[in-house]
Amino acid sequence: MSTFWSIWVSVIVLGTVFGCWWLLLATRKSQTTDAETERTTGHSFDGIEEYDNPLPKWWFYLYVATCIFALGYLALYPGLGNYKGLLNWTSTNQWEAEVAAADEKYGEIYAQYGQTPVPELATNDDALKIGQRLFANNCSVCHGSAARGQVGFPNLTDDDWLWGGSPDAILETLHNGRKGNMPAKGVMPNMTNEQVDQVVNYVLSFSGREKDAAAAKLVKPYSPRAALPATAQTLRACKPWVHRI
Amino acid sequence: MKHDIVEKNIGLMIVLIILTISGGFLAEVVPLFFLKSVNEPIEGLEPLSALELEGRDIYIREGCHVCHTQQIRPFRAETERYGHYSVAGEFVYDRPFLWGSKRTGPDLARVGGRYSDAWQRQHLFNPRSVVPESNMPAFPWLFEDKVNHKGTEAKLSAMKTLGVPYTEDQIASAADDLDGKFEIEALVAYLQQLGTVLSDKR
Repeated sequence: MSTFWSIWVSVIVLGTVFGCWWLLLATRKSQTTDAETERTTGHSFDGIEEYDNPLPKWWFYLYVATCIFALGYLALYPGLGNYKGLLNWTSTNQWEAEVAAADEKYGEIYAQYGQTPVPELATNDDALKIGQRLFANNCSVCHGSAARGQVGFPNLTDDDWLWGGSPDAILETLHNGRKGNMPAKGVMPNMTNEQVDQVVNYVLSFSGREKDAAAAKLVKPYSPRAALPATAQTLRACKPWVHRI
Repeated sequence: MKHDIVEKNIGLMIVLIILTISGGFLAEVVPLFFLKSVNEPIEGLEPLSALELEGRDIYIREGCHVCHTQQIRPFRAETERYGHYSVAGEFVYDRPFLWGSKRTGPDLARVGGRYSDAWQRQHLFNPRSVVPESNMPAFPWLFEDKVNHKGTEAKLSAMKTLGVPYTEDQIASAADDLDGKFEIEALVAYLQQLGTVLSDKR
């Protein structure tokens, strides 16, 4: 902040505090008595009149206390332009302190976990608890809170691993991610090249780009709809566009 | 000073009230207009593309900002979950900003790239199909309606007037870029860029 704006802010902030103080004392002074009286402000609306009594003492001192609090606050925290405050507080260093405290508390535990082989770690209840929370936070939106997966997102509770289920393979998946792709020739590894060509033509026919209509017809279309999980099937049935999912 | 002087002179009272209530604005808001750290985009921040900008308007239309904030506060609990806390320079092209104030759903400030496009589409079509415990409404009509691009050019021009550096080419081609696009595409495009400029994130 430039010096001009720093002074601008300071003048307004301090002016407000001292202005309140002055207003409080000035109106107090004009009162002729400290006690409650029957005197009214002199006007009457529909027979309703207003007493002209001073502020009760406790109330007055409460106001004074807020002004003193404000000055104390402004001395300790950054509130006056570029002045940093006696505590040197910023939201950033508060965050850094929180993170440093957490690192100190958990760093050792994680370091120890890092040294332990995964199968051994899997018998550690505390490690499992931490893992469960990390899973809930990061993984469950796709794989589900029970890890059973969703349409398009694999079930992790069965023993069928797309990328290998060894600790190392899972670590690799976690660190670097996986880009889903199709296994070669799918469930029919014995397909001939001609059959692959026929499938290609059949697939092209979906979008009206048939290369060889005769070849496309040779493919015995197994019903893709029946093979889809229920949700995807419903999606497709209601909204043709969802096809692209 | 007698308080009845103020109470009986309505003009004086108005002036004093205006002075009092403008104090906070003058001290807390006005200096920010001239503060570089809140007015300058962070490195790498680009204006939203026409598609993303329309997605943003859909986000506003559907009231996403009512239940989702777009502001990560500098607390460890938040940065652990969402990533680097938000900084002012990320929002200089946001008009209006969508920081929000209510987190019925999670914060979305850095949701970009966190899930795949397919996940986003499925989740918006039916949130329960991917997150069974979700109470978010479904938005199936986004999959049927095409983006209305009648006003896109004017929107980009208006943004340019407000200081967002759109090029003439971007403005001229805006409507063509959006032709035939579904609303879901625009919304997902918008979501997928959210908070991706700051690289230190989860």
